[in-house]
Amino acid sequence: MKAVIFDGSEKDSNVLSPFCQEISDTLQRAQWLTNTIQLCEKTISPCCGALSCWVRSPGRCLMPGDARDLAILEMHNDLMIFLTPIIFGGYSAELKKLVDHLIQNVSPYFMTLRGETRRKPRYPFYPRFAAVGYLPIPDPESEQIFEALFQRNVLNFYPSQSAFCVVNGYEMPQAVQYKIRRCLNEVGVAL
Amino acid sequence: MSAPKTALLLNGSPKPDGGTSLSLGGYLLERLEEKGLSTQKIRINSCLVTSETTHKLLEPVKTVDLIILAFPLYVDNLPAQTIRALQLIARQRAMEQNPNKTQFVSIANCGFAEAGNNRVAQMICQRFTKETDMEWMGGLSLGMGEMIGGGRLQQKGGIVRHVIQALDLCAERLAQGLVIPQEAVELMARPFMPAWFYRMLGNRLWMQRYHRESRGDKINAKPYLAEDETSSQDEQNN
Repeated sequence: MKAVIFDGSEKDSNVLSPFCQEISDTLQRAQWLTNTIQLCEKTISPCCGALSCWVRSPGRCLMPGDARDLAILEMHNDLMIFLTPIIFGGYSAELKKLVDHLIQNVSPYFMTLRGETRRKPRYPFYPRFAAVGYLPIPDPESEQIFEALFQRNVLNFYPSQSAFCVVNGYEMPQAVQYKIRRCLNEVGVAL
Repeated sequence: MSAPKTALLLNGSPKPDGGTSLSLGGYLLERLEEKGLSTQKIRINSCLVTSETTHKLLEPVKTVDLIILAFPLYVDNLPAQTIRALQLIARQRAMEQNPNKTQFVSIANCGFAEAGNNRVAQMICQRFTKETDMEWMGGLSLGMGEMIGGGRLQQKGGIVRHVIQALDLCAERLAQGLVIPQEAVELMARPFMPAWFYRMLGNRLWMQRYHRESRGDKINAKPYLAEDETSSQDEQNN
């Protein structure tokens, strides 16, 4: 089984490193092949909204840079993990640069899902999806927004299993470890 | 809250023509200008290129009384560059001694039929104002944004009447330093047509655009299908 961790750390910040390490260690103990991508080290042009990836070259972003290769990773892994500092309740701009490009992996066509309009899936299968958000201090409101955002993403990414957790800088390492392991266990990582 | 004297439109659309975000934000800005406010508009993406261009974004934010953030919904959220801009603004305000008590209103539009898809993005905007000690004046959310598709709102005909009413109501209140009324929120969220019809129309328009611009790949192409999945599909086809 293969997993990709998209690390949305800001440049020159290593605050997420211990969490990334914990995710990576847990996956490796469960015999998963793990690929960690530091998004701030990649060249990802902001999505320009031209939607060429839906009509000119369906399923493929034509913009130069790493966005296309990273979008391929979504489809070539069994589990996609977002790791991000929580910014105003949501993802960091570094992570969001990638997320904006993941639309190439869905179809432009509309369909109805649970009474709402959604884009049709492009592929028959999508990876399981987990998100780990970091807050420097406990903050229930930010956690609530993060959960709401995650649940919306679940509707768009079509994962067979999904889970999220929020860790904060005041938690003991054992508590962080427990949260991350439980989150990964919920998406089928055997512990 | 005091009546603003200056207003700044931050357009979060990455499209060079400003897209629907500029149509909506630009209309509101014009109404505020008619009410005596001094106005300015900035396209976020063109500012976040170098430190000099970033200055063009951050400098007016320091002194403006009212910020209007207009943006398209990208994957349930604000576009990446708009988040980056908000992060930079927050960082700047954290360093200021006595930051201006800026008022902030957001206008989100999405390509889905339901305006409610913008809800999380609006929560993020509101949270931004809390963290930066700005005044949250409210958020307007539009669904079926592709029905506007850029250009001047006044030239879109009767179909956008409720959108114009919503923005007129907002201009009235914002010019007095008041939060936007619920009536405007509801008018903006009112769908242009039944959702089923929008989906049918949208699918047809995507197919037409595909036929115009396609280079030959099928619209439902699966270019990243893993090799083992491709071969198992081929086997099934054979």
